[in-house]
Amino acid sequence: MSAFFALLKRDIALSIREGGTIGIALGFNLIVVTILPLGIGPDQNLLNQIAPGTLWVTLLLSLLLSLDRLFLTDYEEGTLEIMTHSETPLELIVVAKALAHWLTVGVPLSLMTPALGLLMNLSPDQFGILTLAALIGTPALSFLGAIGAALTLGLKRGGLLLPLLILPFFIPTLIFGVSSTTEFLFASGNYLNSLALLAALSISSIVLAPFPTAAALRFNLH
Amino acid sequence: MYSRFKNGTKRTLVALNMALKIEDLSLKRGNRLLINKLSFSLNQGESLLLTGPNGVGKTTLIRSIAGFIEPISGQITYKPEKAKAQTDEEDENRKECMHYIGHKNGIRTSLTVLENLEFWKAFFGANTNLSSIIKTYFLESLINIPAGYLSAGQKRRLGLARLSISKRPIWLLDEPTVSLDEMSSNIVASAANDHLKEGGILIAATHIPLEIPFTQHIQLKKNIEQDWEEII
Repeated sequence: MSAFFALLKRDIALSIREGGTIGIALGFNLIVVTILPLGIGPDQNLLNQIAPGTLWVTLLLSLLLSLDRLFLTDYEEGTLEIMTHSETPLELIVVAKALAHWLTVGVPLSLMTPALGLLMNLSPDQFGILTLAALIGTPALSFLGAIGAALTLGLKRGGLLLPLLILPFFIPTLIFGVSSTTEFLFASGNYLNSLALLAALSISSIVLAPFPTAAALRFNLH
Repeated sequence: MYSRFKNGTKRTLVALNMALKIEDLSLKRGNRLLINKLSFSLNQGESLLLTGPNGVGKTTLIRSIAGFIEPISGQITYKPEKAKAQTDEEDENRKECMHYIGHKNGIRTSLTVLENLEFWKAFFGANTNLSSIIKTYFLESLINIPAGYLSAGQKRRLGLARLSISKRPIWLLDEPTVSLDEMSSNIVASAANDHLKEGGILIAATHIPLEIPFTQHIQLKKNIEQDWEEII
């Protein structure tokens, strides 16, 4: 387990130091949500109604932007192949890296949703559910995204193929993320059910996704 | 001898009387047959020098021993001589017993030299004294510099320092002295000699003469006929 924590610590430190990944994800999310109301127009009711869907879609896209870097630098600099030469299974290495990605990209993106909600005319008592749903749902995105990042590792411009491969797998998270928020906003159902399903998606992704990811990495190291 | 095999019963046997055996190994890269039925074996304290022209398959051979490339036929086994037939589990262990130094140095350029060394130490769960390694590889004046700012030779030295961080019985060195000056090459040679004295196994592919008394030498030759057949 020492390798797991060493890698987690290193990846978080690198991500903060290099800054690019978090900065681009947060900046992209902010700019898209900022220009959207300008395009749609000042209809406050309409904005309020489309807010959950919009915020979730921009969250997915911002997170996708950062995914192609997940294994790329370690692959290019040769650290990934050395990591396969250790007692630590590659699956656990994948968990450490995807967890670091969630902590440095998923969590900041979730925490910025209240600021974006303001732009979409959500009232402050609705911010809580939005952030909570994002925090519960984003681990699934980091872990499922790792599969795509590992598959496109050896490819030139793999970053462009990654969204095509991986966005379909984000759909369940999108659906339950949006439904939990709308159910809370418009009191149209029990939002706790949707949150539970979001959590189930995240937990099953954390457990299952490392296996195909590690297999794809092994293939790409050949 | 190798302190990292401290836990687990199956690992305790690995330290004694082990041999690396390559039997009838054939390797392909794309459509080309690079290595055709190569066999050799190395016992404790023995070393092999691989030479041959560019593109002859030195890197492919080393990477297949390192477990990155599947051979099309033949076997690579690494086990104590008296052990029974190899199981998959033992083969998995092979990777943990090796240090592979490839063309890439395996350092993160945004981390400082010291952070790189500390990361590998923590990752391998080693309890070596980093300051003596820093001294051996002449990195004292560089420890707080991000690795990205180092020269090619300094980066190579930092990459090679990994060999001393965790003790492993097999060293696979692919052009270890590339971009190193004479003094740095001697550091590598003396580290390798110490490794062999302790009973380690070493395979090195290099064009530059190294001050290591290799016990075996394989000169790979280009198999032009074979290439030609494959093309037709």
